[in-house]
Amino acid sequence: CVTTGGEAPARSPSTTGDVATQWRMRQAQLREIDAFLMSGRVTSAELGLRADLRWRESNDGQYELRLSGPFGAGAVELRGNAAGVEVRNSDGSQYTSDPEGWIRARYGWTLPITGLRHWALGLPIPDVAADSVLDDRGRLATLTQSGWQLHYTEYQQQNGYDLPRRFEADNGRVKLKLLIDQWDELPPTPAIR
Amino acid sequence: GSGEDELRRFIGDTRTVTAQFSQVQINDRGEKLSSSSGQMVLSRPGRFRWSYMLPYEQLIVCDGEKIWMYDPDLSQVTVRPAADTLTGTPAALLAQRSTLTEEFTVSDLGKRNQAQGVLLKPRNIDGDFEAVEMWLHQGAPERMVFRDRLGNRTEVAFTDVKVNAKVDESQLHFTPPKNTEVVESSATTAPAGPPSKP
Repeated sequence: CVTTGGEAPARSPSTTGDVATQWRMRQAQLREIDAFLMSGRVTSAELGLRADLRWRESNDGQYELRLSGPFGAGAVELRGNAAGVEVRNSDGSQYTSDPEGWIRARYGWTLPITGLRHWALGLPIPDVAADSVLDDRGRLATLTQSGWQLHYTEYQQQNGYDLPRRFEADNGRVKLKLLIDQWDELPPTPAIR
Repeated sequence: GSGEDELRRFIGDTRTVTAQFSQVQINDRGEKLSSSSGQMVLSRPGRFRWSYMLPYEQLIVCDGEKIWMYDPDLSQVTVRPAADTLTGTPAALLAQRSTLTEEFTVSDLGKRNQAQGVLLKPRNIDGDFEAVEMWLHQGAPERMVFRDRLGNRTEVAFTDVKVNAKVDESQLHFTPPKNTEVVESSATTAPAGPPSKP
């Protein structure tokens, strides 16, 4: 499996237990995360894209997603919930119930927003078919879901959670590389049942 | 106005500037989006080095022809033609080839703790920034504030500013280190890649 070197040995979320058990317990723990503030970077060679990414999810289902270039130039911001979002950029702001479609129409590519919300936490989208390969600590190494293949190459400890730091998302047309620098505003780690 | 005199002095007399900078981004609700710091080297006209050390290393070098944006953590560098990229951003503005007044309407902001201020409004309205405040002290930049069209603000404060000191030429060039992915990109600054702008 993928060896994720270069980060502190993470306290595995369960007793030794086999990998599948660890993964089940880990999913239960990560599913509790209903709010977070994630800041990082997203790049794509095909698109010549390099953007700062800031994503805040609140426990009432509202989310804010911001992509920006150096010095905040070229910022695109989405604010809303699953029903619809306000999209703002330097040309103004619009409401859309299909933010991924809006971004694709405007920029020729798009972020798999619904997917990323879960994938960024190291989880598959719930109740959607998926194939996953785990690493030796019961964490996602590879996930294939909704036409995207995710490769997780580095995890990091943040507030007691073992969360992705570096992963790639590839849908055969575009490969996005994500590096998550910081996780904040996470709920306290629930006691492992 | 004295702000404009300082600006003319800066444009006229300043060939190089080196400084430490700290940068804060604040959104329309007053929330701090990010804060970062590093070193700047400026060689007018047209060249600069904007080297972030915190919260992570990132390097932006404009060698007059191309702008290199290098992320060591990603071992990737994005390269764009210098001409129209990052127009109006702090780095490009300070290194501006033309006089600022060609691209901006300039008005005086008066004096605030020994710095003289000017407000620069880009003449081309579809740039990224709606207005730029430039605060100068004895012809050297001390503080800049960038307002984008979404109500966000990027504030840059300069310290340890040295004007017209000798600058090491190699700082104004960039050669990608071994196995760095070099991503050629179109001239746009839009973070989301080549926009299909209407």
